[in-house]
Amino acid sequence: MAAQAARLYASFSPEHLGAPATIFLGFRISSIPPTSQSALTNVSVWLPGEMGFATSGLGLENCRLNLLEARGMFGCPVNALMGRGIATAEIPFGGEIISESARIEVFSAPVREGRLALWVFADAHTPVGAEPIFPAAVVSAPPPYGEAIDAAIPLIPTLPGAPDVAVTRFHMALGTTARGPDHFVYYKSVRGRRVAYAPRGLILPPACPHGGFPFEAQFTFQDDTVATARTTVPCPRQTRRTRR
Amino acid sequence: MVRRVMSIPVARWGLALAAVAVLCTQSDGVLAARTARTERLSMTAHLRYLTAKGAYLLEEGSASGPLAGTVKAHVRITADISGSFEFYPHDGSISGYGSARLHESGTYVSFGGTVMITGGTGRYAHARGSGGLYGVYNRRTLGLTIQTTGSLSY
Repeated sequence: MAAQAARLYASFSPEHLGAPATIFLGFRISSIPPTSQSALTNVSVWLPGEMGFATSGLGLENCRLNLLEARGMFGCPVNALMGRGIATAEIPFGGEIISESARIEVFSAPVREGRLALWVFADAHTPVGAEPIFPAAVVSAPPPYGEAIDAAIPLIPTLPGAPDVAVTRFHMALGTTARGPDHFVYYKSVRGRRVAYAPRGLILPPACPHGGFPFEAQFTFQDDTVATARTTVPCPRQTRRTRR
Repeated sequence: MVRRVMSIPVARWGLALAAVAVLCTQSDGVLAARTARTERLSMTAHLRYLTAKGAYLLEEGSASGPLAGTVKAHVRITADISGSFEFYPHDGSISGYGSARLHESGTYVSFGGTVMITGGTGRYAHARGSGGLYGVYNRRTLGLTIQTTGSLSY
C-alpha cells in the first residue's frame, strides 16, 4: 500500500488583528512511491479559534445545486461566492502521469443538517473535461481550533481500468482579494441603485494565540489511508512588538 | 418578692417575643409564596451589533412582551448558535443562556433551539425558567431578532 504525505499552507492578508482578512489555504499531497498516488476522497481543514464564517459577510445568498449543475458558476448569485482557487490533479494517461488544473469556486449553499454548507465547483477542461461539484460543510472543531471546512471529494474516473483522478495540489483564497484572478465583488442596493462592494472576509481575533494561528488538515484517500498536516501563521509583527 | 414579681413578666415577654418571631418567620414564608410569580416567556428582542471578536458578537437592544426592557447578549455563531444574555426589565435583571441550530442560511440565517433562565438580581433574584428560542440573524448588518416561548418564575 502506498503512503500519502501532505503539507498544508496558510496565510492571511491583511494581517491586522481584529480586522477582516482573506485567508489563503493550500495543500500539497505526495505519495511514496511517487507514481502510486491514491485519489483524495475527503479533506477537513480546521481553522483557528474565534474565526467565524457567520460574521464574515461572505455567502449572503445561497447557490442552488440544480442551477449550479445546469449553468455552472453562472447559475449562482454573485453574493453566494465565498472564494476562488486552483486545484491540480494527476491523471494516469497511457503510462504517463499528466497534470491537469481546474479552476475552483466555492459558493454558499442552503443549510444542511443544521450546518452552514458550501458547494465546491471545479471547472476542468483538458485532458479530462469535467465540472465536478462536491459538498462541503462548516463544522465545529476542537480547541485550539474553532470551525472546520469538511469536504467530500467525488471520485472522477479516467480511462477504464485506470486509477481515478488524484488531487495533488490545491490553493484557494477564502474571501476576495484586491486584484487578480481571486478578486470578486458583491452587490447591494443603495437607494434603489445596485452598488458593488468588497465583502468583509473572516475577522481575525483581536489577540494572537501563543505561537501563532494554528491550522490543521486531515486527508482521507481512496485506499483508506489518512494523512494529517499542520501549519501555523505567525503572529503579526506589530503584535509581537506590543506584547514585549 | 419584688424580684420574683418582676421576673414573671420578663419571662412572659420573652415567650411572647419568641412566639412573634416564629409567627413572623411563618408569615415571611407565606408572603414569599404569595409574591412568587410566573410569567410567560413570550418575548421578542431586536438586537443590534455592537462589536465582534471573531465568531463572538456583542449585541444590545430592546425586548418587548410581558416583561420589557433592554437586553445585552454575547453570541457565538459558528456551526451553530449559542450565547448568554442579560435582560433588564424594571426592578432588576434576568440572566440566562441559549443554544440553537441553524435552519436556513443566506443574508438571513434562521435558527431554533432552547433558552434557559438561570438567575437574576433585584425582584428577579430567584428567576428560573426555560423555553424555546427562535430567531433570525442578519449577516449583512450582524443584527439579531430573537423570539422566546416558555415560562419564567421569580
